[in-house]
Formats: sequence, C-alpha cells, structure tokens
Amino acid sequence: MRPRLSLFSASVLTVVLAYLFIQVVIPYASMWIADRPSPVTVPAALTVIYMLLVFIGLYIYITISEENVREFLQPILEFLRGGETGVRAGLRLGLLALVPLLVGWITYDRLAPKVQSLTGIRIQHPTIPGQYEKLINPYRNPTDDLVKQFQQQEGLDGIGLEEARKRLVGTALAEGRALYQKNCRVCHGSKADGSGPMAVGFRLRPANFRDPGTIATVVEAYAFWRISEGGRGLPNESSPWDSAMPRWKEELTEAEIWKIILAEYELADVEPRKPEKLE
Amino acid sequence: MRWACLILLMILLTPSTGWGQEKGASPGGAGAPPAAPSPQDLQAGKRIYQKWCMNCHGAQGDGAGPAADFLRPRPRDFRQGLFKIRTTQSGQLPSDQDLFNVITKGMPGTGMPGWEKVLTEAERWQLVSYLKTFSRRFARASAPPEPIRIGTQLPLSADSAAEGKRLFREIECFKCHGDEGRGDGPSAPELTDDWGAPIRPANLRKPWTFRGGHTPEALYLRLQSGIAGSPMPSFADSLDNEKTWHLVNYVMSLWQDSSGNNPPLQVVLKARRVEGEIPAQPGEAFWQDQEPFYYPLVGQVIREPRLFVPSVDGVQVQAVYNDRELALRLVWDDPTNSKADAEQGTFEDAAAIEFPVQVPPGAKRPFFLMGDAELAVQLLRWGSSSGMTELNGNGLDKLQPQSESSQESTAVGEFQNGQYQVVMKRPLRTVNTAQDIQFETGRFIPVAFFAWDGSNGETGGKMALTSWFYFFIEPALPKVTYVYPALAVVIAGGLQWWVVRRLRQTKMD
Repeated sequence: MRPRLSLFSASVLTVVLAYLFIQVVIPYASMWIADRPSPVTVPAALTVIYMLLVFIGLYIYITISEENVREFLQPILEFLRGGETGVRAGLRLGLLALVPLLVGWITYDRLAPKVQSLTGIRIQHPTIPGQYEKLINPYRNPTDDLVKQFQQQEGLDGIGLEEARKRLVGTALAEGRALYQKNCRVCHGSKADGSGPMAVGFRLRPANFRDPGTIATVVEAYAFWRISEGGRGLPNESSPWDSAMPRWKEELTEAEIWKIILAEYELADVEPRKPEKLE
Repeated sequence: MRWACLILLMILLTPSTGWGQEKGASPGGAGAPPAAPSPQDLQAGKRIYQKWCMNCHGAQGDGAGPAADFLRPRPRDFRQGLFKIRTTQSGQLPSDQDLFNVITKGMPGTGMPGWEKVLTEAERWQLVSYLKTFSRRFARASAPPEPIRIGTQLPLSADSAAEGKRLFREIECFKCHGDEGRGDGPSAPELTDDWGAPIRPANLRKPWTFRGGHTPEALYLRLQSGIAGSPMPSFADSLDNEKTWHLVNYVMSLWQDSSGNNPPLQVVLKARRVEGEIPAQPGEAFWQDQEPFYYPLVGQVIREPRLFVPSVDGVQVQAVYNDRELALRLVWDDPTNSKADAEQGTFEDAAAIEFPVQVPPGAKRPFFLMGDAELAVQLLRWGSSSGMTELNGNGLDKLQPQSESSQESTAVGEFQNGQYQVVMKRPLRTVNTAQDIQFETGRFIPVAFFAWDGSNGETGGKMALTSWFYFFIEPALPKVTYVYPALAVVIAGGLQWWVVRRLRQTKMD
C-alpha cells in the first residue's frame, strides 16, 4: 500500500487547490472558452461562496467519525505541544506571533477610511411624458397617405402602392443610417454599441443599443422623447446633470428623428417594444 | 474517497463562467480568404458595406461619406489601394489578411471600430473582397504582395533602448515625433496625408492609440513597411533587423506602463494631506511621489459650437492639501505651445478644473458643462497666455471671470517637449463664499476637467472635457484607526496564549 496523505495535509491541500482553481484555472478557462482578451476573474462574493462550500465539505468529511477528528487534530496538537527548543519551537513561536498581528492588520484594514466610488440610485427609464406617449414612427409602417405623398414627390406614379411603400421605408432607413453616423456615432458608436470615440469621457456611458436593456425594452415613442429632449429633459431621479445627450429637437426635424430611430433599431439588431393597446 | 470530494467540488465550481458564450474568431482571424470571390460574395460584401461602412468611407469608396467631416484622421479613400496597416513590403498592396485584421480589430485612436462582434468571419471576408474592387491595383497585381520577414527579436534592454535612442536621432524620427516622442517635432504642424488633409504623427508615449496595435511585431512592421498614405515612410533601406529592434525597444522604453495599455480611469480623485509647504513648481521631485489619476478627455459634442476632433485626449491629475491650501497638478500632452493672438486669430492652450460652487448635500448638482441656470459651477482655469483665472458658470454661454479681488488662486505652468505641467493652488476656504467652493475633507465633491488646444482652433465651447467625476479630500486618520487594531492584537494574542497553554498542560492526556 502506498503511503497515504495525512488527513490534515489533505485538507490543507484541498483548500489550496480549490483556491487556485477559482483564482487561476477558472479565469483562464473562461478566457479561452469565451474568447476574451484577458482572464475573467471570479467575483469576490462568488469566491467566498465557493470557498465556504469547500470548508463545509471538509468539515462534514472530517467530523464524520471520532477517529477522523482525532486524525485531523493530531498534527495540530503535536505542533502546539512540541518541545521547548529546536526548529519546531522557533516555527511555532513565529506562527503564534503572526496570528495576532494578522488580526490587528485586518482590523486596521477594516477601519482605515477607504474612498469608494459612489453608486447613486439612478432611474434608467423614467416615465415618458404624456405628450410623447402615443406617438408612432411614421416610417415603420407608412400610411397610404404618406406613401402617396412620397410617390408624388419622387414621381413614382408608375409603381404600385406596395412597391412604393417598400421604397419609402428603404429610403428612410438609408437616410436614418447616414444621420445616425453623422450625429450619434461619436458617442453611441458606428456599431450602435455605445462605444463611440467620445464615450470614454462620460461617466454616464452613452447607451449601448445592442444591450437588451436599452432601446429593445422601450417603444419607439420613448426613443423619440429621449432624442428630442436629451439629457436636459430627464427628471432629477435620472441625473440630467450627468447626461451628455443633446436636445436634438433644436437641431433635427421630427422626420429626421424618426428616421434615425428606424436606423438605430436596425443597426442595433433589436426590435422596439410594441405599444400596448389602451382602452 | 478523499479525492472524490475534490473532484465533486471541481464539478460544482465550473458553471460559474462564460460557458455557452459564442466563440468568435481567434485573434487576427483564423481561416483563409475565399480563393476567388463569387459574384454572390461581392454582392454580400456590397450590402454589408452599404449598411456599415458607406456613411464614413463613401458609396464610391472615396472616403467622403456624410460622416467623414466629423472624423480625424479622415476615413480612408480606398481608390488608391493605399492602406496604413500592412505586413507587406514598402510600396506594395496589403495582403487580404491585413485588410481582414483591420476590419476585425479596428484602428485604435481613430473612428474605425473592430467589427468582430457584429460581422461574422465570412462576412468580414466578403467585405475584404468588396473593398478590393474600389482600387484597380488589386485586379492588376500579377503576384501576391511579399510579406516582411521579421528577424530574430532582440529583447528589450537598457543597451538596446539606448542604441534605439541614438537611431531615433540619426534617422530623424524626432523631426515629426518630437525629442521625447510626444508627436511634437518641428515638422509636425505642417504634415499632411496623401490627400492633403492635416495629419498628426503618433504620440509614441500613448501606445494605446497606435493604429496597428502596440505589439513589438506591430512596431517592427510599421518601421519596415511604412504607413501608406501618411508621411511615415518605410525605413527598410536604412534599418536592418537589429537596428529595427533597437528602435522598437526604444519606443517601448518610453511607455509609462510596459503593457502599453491606457491608464485605468479612477472615478475618485483623492487629495492626500501633507505637512508644510507644497512645492509650487510642477517640475519638483515632490510631485513624482504623489499618486496620479488619469482622466480621458473627449470633444464637446453636446452643443454648438461642437468639437468632433479634440486634440487633448487625456489629463493626469495629482492633488494634495495642507492646513491652508489645496494644490492640484495637471499634466497633459499638446503638440504645440500656442499663444493667444487677436491679430493672427490664434488661441491659447488651457486647462481647467470644475467644481460646483455649493457642494450638493443630495444627488442634485449643476450640469457638468459649465453649470445651468439654477446651479452655478466654479472653474479654476490656467491658460498659456492668460495665466490663472477663477470663473463662475451658469451655462456654456454664461461663463464669467470673478472680480479681481476674488482671484485667490495661483498657478505655475510649464511647456516642454509636447507636454504641459501646471500646478494650481487655492486656499481651502475663501471670503467670497457666494462664488467660491469651500473645500471640506471627507466629502464627495463633483469634479470635471477641460482642456483647450489653441492650435486646433479650440476656444470657448470648443474644448475637450469629461463629465462629473468625484473629488475627495482625505481627512486625517482618526485615533481609533490605531487604537482598535492594537486592542485586537492584545486580545487575539491573549486568547491564543491561554488556549496554547491549556493544550500544553493537558499534554499527558
């Protein structure tokens, strides 16, 4: 029979290995699996939970029998009860001196004032004002009137109404994309992912439209309100003083804003929320 | 059995990570381009181009899309077949892989993002095929471009960097990139690209803005291939393998952080308490020991007049205080030392720190862009011509210097080798409490930063800025911070001593 590891050493080894696994193996494995540029650290809270699980597991295993407990405690007791002289005594003294110092350091670390970033409570999606609530995007499913108007403007009388409708939406989308890249790109990014060249300077980061929690959760009227009124149109609970969003109704026409919205959803590859049928 | 526990634990631990996330193309793009693109590939490439690229690069690939005027450097005109980031020899076309890599990773420091997350690998190859149709050079080329062979790398060492520094002068890199590499050389202001648009030499101390990345290999390739369409030539004739590596090593020795990544942004700017006089000269050794905080600056694009192409892209700030005054040291790169001159129509360079006049008790605060009608801000502003000024703002167009008698701040500023260093000082408390912020320790004070590069036409609302961050003046440590830990040591030591003593007494059991 090969010599077997003492219960105490095995327990220590398990704890060390589990910790290394959480701190090293998981981050690198995640980096490889998720194809990230750098290791993905396990959040501290999760590390605590995992390590707690390890300790609970070990505790259960050790206390399963009297014999186990005795085997586990033996090296500790031997160490503490060792002789008065020699290397072991020196080691014991050092270790025993270290424990109170560690406690002192932890206490200091807890007490010393630390500057942490403030995380204020901010309402991301305040309620849309009444006058904006019922608006619909005229370019999503253009009415016959709008299509006929478009036909007249463009001299497209020869083609059918449905073909003209398709062309109107196509034109609006193309214009919207251009307007988006001209006006919105610098902050919200060419890819509509909220990482344009100017995004880094603003602590309230420009919205990432690809994030399912932004434009995908609101109706188009909501986007129209946010673009028209900008940061200054936000209520206080949504920290208007931190928003770099311009008040676009001062510079763009309503038609242009609707076209931008059409393009914004298309570029972000998400659908607007459907307005609820009221009454 | 014992090990079974461990294995079980490992199984328990695994699902915490990014399993199931999409696995994209490996960096640099694995796989190869389609040997000959089919008409369908070109059609698909065109559709992608029209959706994502055309509004900057132009429908005809001429680099003149509707958004082109808002970018610097301007989007590339594809018609000449000139591409900046290549692995091929001087004067040659890029390889397909080169084009693919730029589309995939983007170009740092420009408006070109990486498209890895939006376009699939196949779509990016289709785009490469379509891009090549804009220049006849690709169709005419009889042989594929020859790649640059990267010879054995010389590791970064002091000797190699010193030799690189000598070469930096010998082959006159400094003429554009400046004596210390900040892109402030004597020729820098006149440089234009092949299309006549002004272009800036790289600030070699900001590797995170290098268009082709900042790996040693990338730097080697830029030196050997040149940057097509820009004034950066190929040095293949004057630099052999060894000399090229020396220069690469010199450039890398200039970086504050050897990783070459941008300094991390810290939300809270801390001011540490010091005893005695605070040095007023920004060059004093004292300042090397103070913790630096870095804030990226971006163009003011909120209201007209907007600035889409800001010059200053970041500011480093250090803050200390004593029983009387607060001192802030600002360091930022600016390629030219410009002065205000009404006749010439030029503007001064400047930087400012903004605080609300009243530190808000709740969350409410003035608008970060020079305050609003309801709440005022205070600016501590230093200009290369005007010196130190305290201003108050109730909006971008309502910014007023304080009266002569209320100007209590002082500053010393220096410009050297493409960098400004300014130390501003202000008393913690002032008489003019209606217009001046009164600094108190232990509070989170909103703070924002501004910079103007006069030679870039920046003045008034045309500036680089940040929104609100936090400023925190660290209070002196209270006594309990020392008493409690001491107590903890005594108690823990006593308990331990008691336990060990008992154990040792029961040794015979």
